[in-house]
Amino acid sequence: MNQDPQSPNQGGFSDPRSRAEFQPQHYPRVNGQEPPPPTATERNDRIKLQFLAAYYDLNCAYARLFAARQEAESPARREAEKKLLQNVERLLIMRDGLEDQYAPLGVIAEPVVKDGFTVNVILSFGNMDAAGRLRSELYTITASLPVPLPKGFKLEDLDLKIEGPGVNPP
Amino acid sequence: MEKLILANFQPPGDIVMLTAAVRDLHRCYPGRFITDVRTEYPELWENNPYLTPLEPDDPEVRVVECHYPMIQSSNLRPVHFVHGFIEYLNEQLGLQIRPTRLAGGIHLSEQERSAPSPVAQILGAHVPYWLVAAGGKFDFTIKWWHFRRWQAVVDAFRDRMLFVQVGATEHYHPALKGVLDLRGRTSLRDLVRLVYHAEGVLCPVTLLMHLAAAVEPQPGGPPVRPCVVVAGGREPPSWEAYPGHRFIHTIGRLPCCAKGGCWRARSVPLGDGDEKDNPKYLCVDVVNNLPRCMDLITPEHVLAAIDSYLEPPTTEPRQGARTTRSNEIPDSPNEAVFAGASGTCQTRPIPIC
Repeated sequence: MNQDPQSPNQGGFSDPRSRAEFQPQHYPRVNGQEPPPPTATERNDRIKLQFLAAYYDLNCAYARLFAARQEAESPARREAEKKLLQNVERLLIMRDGLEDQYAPLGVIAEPVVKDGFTVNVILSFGNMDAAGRLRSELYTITASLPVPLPKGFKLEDLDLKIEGPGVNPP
Repeated sequence: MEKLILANFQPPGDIVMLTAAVRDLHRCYPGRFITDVRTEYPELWENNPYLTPLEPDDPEVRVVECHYPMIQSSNLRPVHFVHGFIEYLNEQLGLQIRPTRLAGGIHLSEQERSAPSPVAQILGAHVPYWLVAAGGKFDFTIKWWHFRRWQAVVDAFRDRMLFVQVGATEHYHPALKGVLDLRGRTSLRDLVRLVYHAEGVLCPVTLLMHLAAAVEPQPGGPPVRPCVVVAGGREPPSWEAYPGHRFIHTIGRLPCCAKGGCWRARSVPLGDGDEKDNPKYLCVDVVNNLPRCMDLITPEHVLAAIDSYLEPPTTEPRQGARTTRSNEIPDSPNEAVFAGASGTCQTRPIPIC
């Protein structure tokens, strides 16, 4: 793997929602929310879509495997199961490739699995915190501290030196 | 008695180094100073015998903002990080403090020493463990090793050793499989206690490495806590490595770290608006999604380094030993492991002042 991690969606990725046989029940959520639209252009959204597509394909492959295992034991079933397992393996390798590609960007994708199916993908990014803010952005925290004045006094009567943004502007 | 407040608001690894300076100030000038500190990590100062509460508005108090400009010459001078704050204090205060120990000074209470380890409290039984940090902060992503390589090391010790994964939630710490996952579940003090009870530590150049050296060893255990550091070529071992640690580095192996650490910040730009995305802070040789210096370090190197702690030293090839494992890593302290070519390990001594 020596791809450029800066350029998601440059190589053959297709959103499964545009496929004719799309099965919405196998398309996971992302961070507990609805996925971005297929037309999303923001880098992290494109990365989300790639991981969702990977887990969608895995879900579909697992569903086919699960269905095959419901069949009665036979040489044909064993052969079908083998091919379906190979397909799952192939998709896992593709998923691993995505993880490798985006690891230098600090991307972590952790699937939430229920009954063998990925229902949600928890994705975090190196450039943004959990609140979706750029990590280099400074936080501004404002606190209001009510200080009661002595009875009969007004603020301008007091010899107070209060410093801070917006206080006693020149 | 002169009253000093020493202030520094850098990350906790730096503060561990400040604990060394405070200790050595008092050891070199006993009875001359009363000291207090201002840092963001009071948990690193718990039980520290060298601190006395002082207030900065006390007219007798001198507040010293502490720095370590010595780092600028770390590739040229035979100096360790532990010298950094000490030299600065010497310049500021006209002193001649000397390091008395090549490690920080983190102190535990008797209760902390005697209590079961945090891992034992979770598992309900004493289980030996190694701590592993498989990531780091976002400011210096160049220190990261690939999570699959950390995983390969953990997998190789399956059924032989418990790894306990630690790391802050707000940093990059991909989940490892087959570990006790304490990511985001430890306070800084918990981490100190975890280190105290750990059989060993596995990490990149990070706070955990400094704690592995600074936290006192357990009674009856090895005098130096085992610690394997996946370091690459960013920082010279003479500056970062501790006696007894296996510091796996590539200084002298690549053009970008031929004469010392490159001191760059990131493997690739993160796009977070940080100035460390500037090309002058970026790795100049990325391969396999890693800085080449980190790519040169294989799981086999790390396995060999861990094995060197677990197996008794021998000069004879161990029967059945893998070709790139323990019999190629010397067991004596003060050595850094050099990640050489062809997947083998060579060693070279590092100067320890």
